[in-house]
Amino acid sequence: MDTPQRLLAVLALLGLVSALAVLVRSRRGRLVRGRGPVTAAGLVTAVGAPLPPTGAVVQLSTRWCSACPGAARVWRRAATDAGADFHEIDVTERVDLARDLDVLSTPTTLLVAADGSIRGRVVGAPDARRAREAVAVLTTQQPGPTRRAA
Amino acid sequence: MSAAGLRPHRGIDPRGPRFGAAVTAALLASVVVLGPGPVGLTLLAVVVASFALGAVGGVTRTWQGRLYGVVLRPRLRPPTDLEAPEPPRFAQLVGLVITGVGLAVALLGAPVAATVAAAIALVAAFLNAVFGLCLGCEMYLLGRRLRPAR
Repeated sequence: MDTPQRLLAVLALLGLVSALAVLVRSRRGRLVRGRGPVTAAGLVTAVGAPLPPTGAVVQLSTRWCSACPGAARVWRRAATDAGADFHEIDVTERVDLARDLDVLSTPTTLLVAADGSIRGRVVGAPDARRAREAVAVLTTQQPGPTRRAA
Repeated sequence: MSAAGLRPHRGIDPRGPRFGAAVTAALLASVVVLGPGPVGLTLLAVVVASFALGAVGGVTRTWQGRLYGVVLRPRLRPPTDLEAPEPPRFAQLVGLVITGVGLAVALLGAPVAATVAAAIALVAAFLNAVFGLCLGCEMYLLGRRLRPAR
């Protein structure tokens, strides 16, 4: 390939990557229900505290996760406002737990009801509004119809 | 399992690594466009050396990081948020492995490896600079899950 062709190839590559990044980002931080296991034996143990009646927001983080600290701040506020607990679990060395929970990237945040069942999950860092909407699945009495990730 | 140890006390300006990624992306794009001639390979070697600095001392120790600290940061508002230095440092290590292997294979007689490695690293640096998406950081958990647990 000569230089103009290489230049075009680079521009095409970056265009494609941008389109994919916009797509991925639009799906980040949104509540997804009905994906991943509903329970995991190690989860409540890993939280290390009794779950209150309103349930808990549990964020899985790793030491290498750049978006995790900001996400934790957003979740803590949303959980506190709704009367739920917030917990953050470091899964850097807990690959077993990440596997059991079907977590591929961090932050992944689980909405855990008082009985330890997972009502939904949010992959990526949410903004304050999306976090509030997600926490609302803990306070609604009846779990809504399960919607698969589109 | 608590989240203790996830939040180091020191923090870095998150705009530093993104600026560094933009500079690195420009260099890597030049490597791809110029092709694996002497100039292209020299530029790739500069990138490899920069990643090595970042992997050893963190992103603030790279010349891009110093450039940001000396030239840009004094002209900008103070950061609203600090981020942990470990994730971008891990990403520098990922970049070092990819570009280092590409450069080595190119020097051993397969010049196309330089272009392929530069293109892969370009995608990661571009995503970081433009979208704030840290591919190296995201890959950590995925990489750990693909390997059997220790």
